[in-house]
Amino acid sequence: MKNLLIAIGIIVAIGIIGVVYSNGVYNSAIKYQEEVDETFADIQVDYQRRADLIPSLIETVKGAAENEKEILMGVTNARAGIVGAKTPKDLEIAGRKINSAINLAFEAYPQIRSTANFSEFQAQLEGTENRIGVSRKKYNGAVKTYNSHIRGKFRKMAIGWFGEEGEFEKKELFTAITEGAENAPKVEF
Amino acid sequence: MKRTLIFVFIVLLGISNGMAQDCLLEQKPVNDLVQDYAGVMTDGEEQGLRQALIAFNDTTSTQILIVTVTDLCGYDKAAFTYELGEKWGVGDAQFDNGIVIMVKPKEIDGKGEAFIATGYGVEGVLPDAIAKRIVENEMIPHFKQKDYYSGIASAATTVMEITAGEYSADDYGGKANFKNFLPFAGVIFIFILIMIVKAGKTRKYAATNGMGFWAAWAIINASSRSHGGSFGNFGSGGGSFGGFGGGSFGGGGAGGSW
Repeated sequence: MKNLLIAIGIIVAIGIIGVVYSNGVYNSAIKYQEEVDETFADIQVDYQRRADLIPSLIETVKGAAENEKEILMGVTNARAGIVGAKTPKDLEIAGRKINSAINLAFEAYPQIRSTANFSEFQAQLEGTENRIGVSRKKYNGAVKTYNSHIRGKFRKMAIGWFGEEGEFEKKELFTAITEGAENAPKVEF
Repeated sequence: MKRTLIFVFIVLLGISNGMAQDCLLEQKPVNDLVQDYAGVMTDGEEQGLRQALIAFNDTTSTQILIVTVTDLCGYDKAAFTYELGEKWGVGDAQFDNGIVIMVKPKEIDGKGEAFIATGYGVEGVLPDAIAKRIVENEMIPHFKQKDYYSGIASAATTVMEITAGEYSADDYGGKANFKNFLPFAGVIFIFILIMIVKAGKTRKYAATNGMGFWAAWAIINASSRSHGGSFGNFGSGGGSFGGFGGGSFGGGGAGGSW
């Protein structure tokens, strides 16, 4: 009788430990996923910042340009792309649109280079590029932590126990898309 | 044979040492706000700057690291500077109010490079365009004359003037006090717990040996070895730097070359 009680006690204890462990794994999975989402949002902010530079750039040389509308349309498209981006790939496409709009602006207004604020503008442009690079790196770091967390055998089981189907899927890295995607594409001055 | 082995060992040691020392990013942080690896300042100049930066850190909690180097570890000047700030954790972890001013003096072949990297919390008060202006107007004209100290000092002064209003030490102190309260409460709680357990033991001892409570208390405490605890070194006397706070960098800042 006593032995049976002890056996039951051990089983209950193991069960409790299992639940506590799985709950911990599930909670960390949520935490890591939040981190991935947060770092992704940071990249979106950085891209938007870059997109917003273009209208202010055009502002400095206001006036003559037949393709001003075209450039600003490109910026608007890119901005919409950034806001709606769900994957690194989407952001990558939007980022290319921004860069081509910047390059178009430089082509359309060669006099931009000689304006007084150009070196400061250049600093801002480089600043956005650096920020995008840093946020991509931080995002990739968060994704790596998250992905390795959800892929462990026992952790996978534990997550499946608490989480819903498809709640924790493997996330995409920036490196997975194109070669050199870790670094933001360059603008030619 | 033995001699050759020793020789090879010494050579390998030398190589690995050399590699570790070449690149600042691979090294452990040095708790000092002025680090002149390129050797462009005199000891007195360095000390003056250091004192100013320590005082600034004490009053505003904003940390400014000045570093001169000869090697950028293969990074460009921007990436090197904000990576250094991020890795070493310049600035407070809560405010991310760290700034790194990096100067790589001009050598016979090649360009001189300077960069001011701003932590997340300083990006607002010191935007990239302003950082660019400081590098172009305060630093490079002096650097072209090979007067590195004047350029660095002038940039540091300007950065301090601009960022002085952003964070105050009160702000910092208030939050830090709250943070310190929790471990303190924990210590008190554990202390009370120990007292309760001890009192229980004493009562038992007093009952079995037929003596008064306080007599038993005295006997128990005399026989148990006391664990003298130290509360760590608070004594960071006037003029010394307490260490980097774990601030984070997001790629803000600007630089220039000459």
